[in-house]
Amino acid sequence: MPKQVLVPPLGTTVDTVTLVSWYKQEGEAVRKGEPLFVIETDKANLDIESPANGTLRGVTASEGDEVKALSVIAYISEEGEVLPLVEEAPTKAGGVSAAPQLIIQPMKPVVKSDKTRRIFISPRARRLAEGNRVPIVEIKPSGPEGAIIERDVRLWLSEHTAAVEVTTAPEKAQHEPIAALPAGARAAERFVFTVEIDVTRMVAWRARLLANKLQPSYTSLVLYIAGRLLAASPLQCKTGVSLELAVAVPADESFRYVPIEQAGVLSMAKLTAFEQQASTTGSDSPEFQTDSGSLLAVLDVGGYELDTYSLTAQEPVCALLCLGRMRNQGDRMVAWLSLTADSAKIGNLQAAQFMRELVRLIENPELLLGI
Amino acid sequence: MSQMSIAQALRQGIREEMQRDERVFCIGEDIGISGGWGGAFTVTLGLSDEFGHERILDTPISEIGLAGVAIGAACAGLRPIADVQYGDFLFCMMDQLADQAAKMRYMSGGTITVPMVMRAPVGSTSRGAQHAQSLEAFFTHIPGLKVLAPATAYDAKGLLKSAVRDDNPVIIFEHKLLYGSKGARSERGALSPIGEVPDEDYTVPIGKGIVRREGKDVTIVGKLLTLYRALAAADELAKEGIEAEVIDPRTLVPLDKELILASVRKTGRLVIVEEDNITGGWAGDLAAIAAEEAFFWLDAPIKRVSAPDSPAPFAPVLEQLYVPSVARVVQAVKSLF
Repeated sequence: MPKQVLVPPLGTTVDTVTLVSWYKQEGEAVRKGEPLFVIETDKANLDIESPANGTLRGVTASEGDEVKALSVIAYISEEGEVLPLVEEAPTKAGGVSAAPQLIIQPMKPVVKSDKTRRIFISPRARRLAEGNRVPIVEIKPSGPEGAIIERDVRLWLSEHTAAVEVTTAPEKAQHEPIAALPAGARAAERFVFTVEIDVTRMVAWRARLLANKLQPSYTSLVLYIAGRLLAASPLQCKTGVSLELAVAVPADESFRYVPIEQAGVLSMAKLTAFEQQASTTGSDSPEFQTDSGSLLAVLDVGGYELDTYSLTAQEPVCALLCLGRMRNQGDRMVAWLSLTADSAKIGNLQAAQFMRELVRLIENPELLLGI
Repeated sequence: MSQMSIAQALRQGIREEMQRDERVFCIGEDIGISGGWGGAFTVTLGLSDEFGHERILDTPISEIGLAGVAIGAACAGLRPIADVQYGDFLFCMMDQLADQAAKMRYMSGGTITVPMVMRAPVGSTSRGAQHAQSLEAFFTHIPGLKVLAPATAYDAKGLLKSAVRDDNPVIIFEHKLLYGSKGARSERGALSPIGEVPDEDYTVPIGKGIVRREGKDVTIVGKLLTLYRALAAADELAKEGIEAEVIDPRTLVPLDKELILASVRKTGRLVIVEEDNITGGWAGDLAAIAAEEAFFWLDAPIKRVSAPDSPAPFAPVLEQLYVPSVARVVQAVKSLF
């Protein structure tokens, strides 16, 4: 007689749980005590073990389903055993099966690279990971209660650092998959926010700076503001790494992206000098290196009399901030500002909040104390 | 250089200070009576024969009285070394200590100093809940008091001398299981460490902790008795490949924060062991300091191994559960890996 696979009852407060994933597929052999599926309650994820040796059959609940405690969601059958009729709605079944045979592992958090799951990482480990731009989601935790600790980051680094040193392009793509995928596959994963902003005050600000013998481009002004905003409230990639600024400069046939170190603390004079040097030498000069990990690039398409531009998938930045051409509108000057970003890397809500703050600062640059 | 117990080292320190400075005197209950024990734990044994009852003053059983006399004498220019038989009785003199001694220098604009030493035995030793408390945290909370916790004979003598020479009120907490008291005053289960103590004059600076054992994997801070628990735990852990660094703060106010923080920054883990009840204890305060100043170096939560929030039990079996054991320290450390 096939063994029922039951959803375990988890105390009195939980009626239904979410089936997170199956470790085994329909028809796959499974041994008694082997983890069979993962459920998620409001408190924790639990591995549920197989109640018997046999083959997983008659699976009625799929990943993501809400399932009722004590309902039958599959069977473990031995060869030749016939399954009972599968009930239509497994979530309504059960609750009455006498003496359900369950094996529940002790509470053990299941940590997987599922993006929706919260990752626990010690402050020391996070510090090390961020300093080395290690994608936190890729680190295997070994610390207490499933947390990532320092040794896990060091292990990741020891496994990957050497590979990067001698890397060939496809190998690097293993942990930088975004850059390697074909454009078509990625296009759908970008999002764009566009807003018309009032640049009257930024224009006046630039005029004051010009009078003071500084010659910042509008790109520099946006970099200056965005740098300080990011320094005050970092925009984090989903990997946990904070975005860093880059400037887009024309090079050969396309734009190239030059990262700016410490953009949040560079003076306007230094930022202007950096931007001018990057624009004139492009990224051919060896001191500039592009980095595909976590860059937010700034591009002034207004210089081309355009309003906006969205990234192509090949471009090695995860977000692009575009300032469009400036136009008179009554007694104001307005321009488009748009942010394109890779949704696999940056949360759109986070990006929207960042844009709202950025627009507020560009429209009111005096809010940056000390300018 | 001699080998001696903490009680002997304290006695030698008191003797030397009394010889050095005639303003120094001792005051306490049964510290100098003939045929007595020399206080509850033999520290002042024999001193009344050397210095007479004028300088080894026995008082009635009134802590509030002896504290008042000591503090008043200190204000007037003497340098008293007072003691209570059990630290628990400090509560009887809280107004004198917390409101008068601690604040006198501040409120008089520095014109009155209170160069008083108050010695107080702490620790749970099967004598019941009113003779068992670890009171360090209470007094670290009062600005104006210095709080010392020597755990070796060398530190006991050196810190006592520093305390006598300090112009502020200083409380020295001494652990009953560490004294090495003899005869009728020996304690069951005592550790009684014997240490090398220089015969010449030396002091241990107030405000300097010490690394008792070096390690790279976890920092364990223990004071008084729990220092020895921490050291024993470090031995156990070493067998399993965990190298613990053990720190003895020695003085709690002022605290050698940098020594502890530097260690935490190195190891990434901190376990604090103390015999006080866990809520509002000194361990919690040190944990807060580490969280504020070394957070980004932490690789695991900070753990406290303290006594539970209960009066110290009289039953020996329960007392063993109450006072942090080596096994509890080992377990706490392991939970961080």
